[in-house]
Amino acid sequence: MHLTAILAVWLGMYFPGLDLVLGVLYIIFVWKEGQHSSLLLNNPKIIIFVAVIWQAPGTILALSVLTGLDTLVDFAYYFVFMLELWLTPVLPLISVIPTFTILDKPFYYYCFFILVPLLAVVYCLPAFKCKPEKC
Amino acid sequence: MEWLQKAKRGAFNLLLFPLMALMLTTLIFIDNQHLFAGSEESVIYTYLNSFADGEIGSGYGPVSTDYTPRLNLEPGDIVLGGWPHCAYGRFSHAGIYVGNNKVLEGYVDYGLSVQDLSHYLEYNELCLLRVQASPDVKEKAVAYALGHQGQMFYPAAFKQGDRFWNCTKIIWEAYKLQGIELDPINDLWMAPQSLCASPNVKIIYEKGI
Repeated sequence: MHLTAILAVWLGMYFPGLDLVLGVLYIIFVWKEGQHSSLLLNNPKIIIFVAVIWQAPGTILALSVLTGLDTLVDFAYYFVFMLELWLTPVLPLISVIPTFTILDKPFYYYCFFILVPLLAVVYCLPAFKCKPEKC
Repeated sequence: MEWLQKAKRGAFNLLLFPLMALMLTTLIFIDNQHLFAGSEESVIYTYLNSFADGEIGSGYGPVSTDYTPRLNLEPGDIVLGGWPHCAYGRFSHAGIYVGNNKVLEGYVDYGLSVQDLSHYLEYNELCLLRVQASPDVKEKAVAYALGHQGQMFYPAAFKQGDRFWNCTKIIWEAYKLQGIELDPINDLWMAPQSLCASPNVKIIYEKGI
């Protein structure tokens, strides 16, 4: 779902507003998927494992940018590009936040590093929050 | 029957985004038919040709050490820089000169931001464009661009909307709002190369052809 959501939300940017709707739907679907998984797997550890695997590309990119590991390769600048592209499904939601800068960098840049674990939390939360019979 | 309802819901969740992508691709294609009817100036063709040659991204190469004369720029002038092997044309980056040796440009990590002009001297390809407009119009275009500092940079930003920008779109939009069209072929995206093709600009300096 994530890869097709990247494509759909990016194409949705052609029709401003639609990208926002798709971004909200994406978050709802991730939550629903988390609920579905908690019923199906019924094991929070496995659900956390699934979330970690799902967000592994984002985590690797975010950590390499944060630790400066990306600068060890010639195409360093592409890591942050790829991280932004990975987070495309939720970018419309942070694009509506009024802009301000912290230490010369815009707020949205810091969101990149928060969103990767946050998406995993949205997926995992139903497993800890809902009782199976109610979900 | 509960399982059937759940299965249906699951299928809807799974299929919505692929179907939306397919539908939106079709709509965008229909809306841009003029670009697929032999207009090889479009950035789409540039991308596809570069991709076929195995080139992606903004290019790479050694920092230029060529002599560049003192650049006599006026606020509102457009600065283009390019590396060899750039996938989207001769130039990979664009900025609008805002005065005092500063340009407004876009980067993923800085968003739309004001940076020093000097880094353009490192590019292998450099081009300076002067927009054919009155100083008043250029001033307004610069003010518009400066008013968007900190906004989000997205490399594949479409021309529509005002929440996602790339380095060229902000310049195009700033002048478009003043009645000056810098995209003569009404392309799908704005790439730095597109600005050169506009009849509303004059090349005032060029290096690395």
